[in-house]
Amino acid sequence: MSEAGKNQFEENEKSERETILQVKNLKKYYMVGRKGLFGEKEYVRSVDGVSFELHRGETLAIVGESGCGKSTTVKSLLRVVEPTDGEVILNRQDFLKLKGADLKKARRNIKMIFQDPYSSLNPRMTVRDIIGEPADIEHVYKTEEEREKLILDTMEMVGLNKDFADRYPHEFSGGQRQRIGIARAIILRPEIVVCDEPVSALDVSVQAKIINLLKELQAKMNISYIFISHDLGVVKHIADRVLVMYQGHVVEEGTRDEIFENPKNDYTKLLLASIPEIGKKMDFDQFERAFQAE
Amino acid sequence: MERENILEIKDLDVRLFTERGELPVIDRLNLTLRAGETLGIVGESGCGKSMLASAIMGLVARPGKVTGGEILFGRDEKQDLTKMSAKELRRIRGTGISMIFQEPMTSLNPLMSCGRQIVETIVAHEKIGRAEAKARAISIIRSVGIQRPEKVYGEVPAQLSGGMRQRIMIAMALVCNPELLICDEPTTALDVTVQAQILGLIRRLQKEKKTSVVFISHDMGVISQMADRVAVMYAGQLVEYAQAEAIFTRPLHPYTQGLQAAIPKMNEKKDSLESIPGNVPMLYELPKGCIFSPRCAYATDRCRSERPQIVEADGHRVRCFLYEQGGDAQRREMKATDTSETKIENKKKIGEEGEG
Repeated sequence: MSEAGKNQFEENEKSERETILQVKNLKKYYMVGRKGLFGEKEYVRSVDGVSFELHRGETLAIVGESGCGKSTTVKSLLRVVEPTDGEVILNRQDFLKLKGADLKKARRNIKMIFQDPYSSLNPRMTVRDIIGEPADIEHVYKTEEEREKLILDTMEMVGLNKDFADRYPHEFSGGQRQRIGIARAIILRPEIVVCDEPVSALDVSVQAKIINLLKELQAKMNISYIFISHDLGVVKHIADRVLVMYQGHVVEEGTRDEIFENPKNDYTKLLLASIPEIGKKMDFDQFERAFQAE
Repeated sequence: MERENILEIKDLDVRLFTERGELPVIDRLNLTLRAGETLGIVGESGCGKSMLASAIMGLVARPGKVTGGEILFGRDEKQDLTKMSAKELRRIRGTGISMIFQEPMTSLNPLMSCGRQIVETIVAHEKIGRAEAKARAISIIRSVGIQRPEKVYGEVPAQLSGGMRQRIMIAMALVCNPELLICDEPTTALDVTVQAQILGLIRRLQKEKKTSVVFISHDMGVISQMADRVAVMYAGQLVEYAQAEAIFTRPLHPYTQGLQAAIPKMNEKKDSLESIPGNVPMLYELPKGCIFSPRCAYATDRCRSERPQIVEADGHRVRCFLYEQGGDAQRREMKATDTSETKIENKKKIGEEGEG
């Protein structure tokens, strides 16, 4: 098969993948005040009608600048904050309507990795307990031996030396801490992992290793990622599909190649033009004009 | 005609005095900056790039101390900044050398209007009336691209966006027309589109005012847009220094090569990114030989026991034994013979111990 034909085949294969998560018209408004004492409420529309689908085993990147609503979108769909409106269909159920034990059970399947590996790990817990905590909460093991095996296996999967299980987070470098965070996220073998700027706090040489690890785990476990990032270089490397957000709305959605090779929306174009790249002189004037136009 | 040097750093040593002993944050560093040019300094966290900025500004604070070397500043009569009194340094800061920092919110006074902060800078350095100073402040605010300077003059930093705050910082840094501007990660906290605006602004003002710039960043992409010459630092040492184009098209030092390979590129598709095995060493446990040797694919026994000096090769200054006999030709030869085997062997070895 020719290279192009093979790519086409792979594309088709991907588009027929099973939909694992469906977000419909998700909204999150924050009330900021009232017009007068009895007046109308005023809202900030952080997320204003966002819809997308996530397929099994793919990486969907959400990109945009600070305040565009990318983090609020994933926080709302995970119900870290309760969304104002919308539907999130996970395993044929509306995740937003679940309560109690059902919610807890559904949450096993969707986990999160955070940006800052320094503040997202409890400094008073050993690595063993940090990684094992989700398993403890969900009672997925029967004996201590089973627990230990699960934890050590997971550590191995993320490339952490098993001998470090009794150490504390402060003894690790940023990259290793992010590995601990990843281990904690995958110990229950979720189908979906939400990564919120997982490599933004890391140096480039370490960043590359974490990205490679995420891709490796995806290939092994068929995880679907929702990957939030402001770094378009990283997104281009890891994403299958891309959502571009601006002021609470999705302004463009497409496959990686559509977005990067042939962007349609003006904002996407501006975003792509603003990446400083080695070997390509930037046209700075256009940004000055954009700023003056604001 | 060769441009004259505005800044000459000679054998600069900065140490941290800690419980673990004297740590070399900057180890015998030599760099020069030509008037009107931009010197880019790039490296990962802990490489000493921000400490270098502090040293130039005379702001190294305990437990750090400049323990040797000279920082010569000026066009004709160069003065050694490391030997200056606090009073002399205060005079130089603002009029001779200015600095902009990463986080504009924490470097601006939150309780004082932007305009008054700029006026403060002017009256600290010049004998000038209040009204005239205000006019100067408004004019500099306009020159950093802010359209309604009179309005912004009266606003406090919290009322402005991150990009606007950084513009105010730049206005404040340039209001007394310094010869040298030090930018320490000025756009790291900003969004990419705002970053592009600020980078463009710094370049425009540099051209208009003929300022020389030291531009510090961890982002090779940003450095490639800004710098005429680039210094790559690693764990307190200069490992490579060359013309920007040479650094980006033909990096010589294995660390520079590794850094560039690790950046996800927009114009290529690869399944996995190259990474540099291991971690940046802690200053209290620096390796005995070349400081990069534990992570270097080309490292030999000599690299692990002896510290390489900086040598000239193909117009680069590079701290690596590979280039002792000169440039590229030599390197190719070495790669072709024994190094390729060592490289594979080393990769295996590092791979086992490597932790990221």
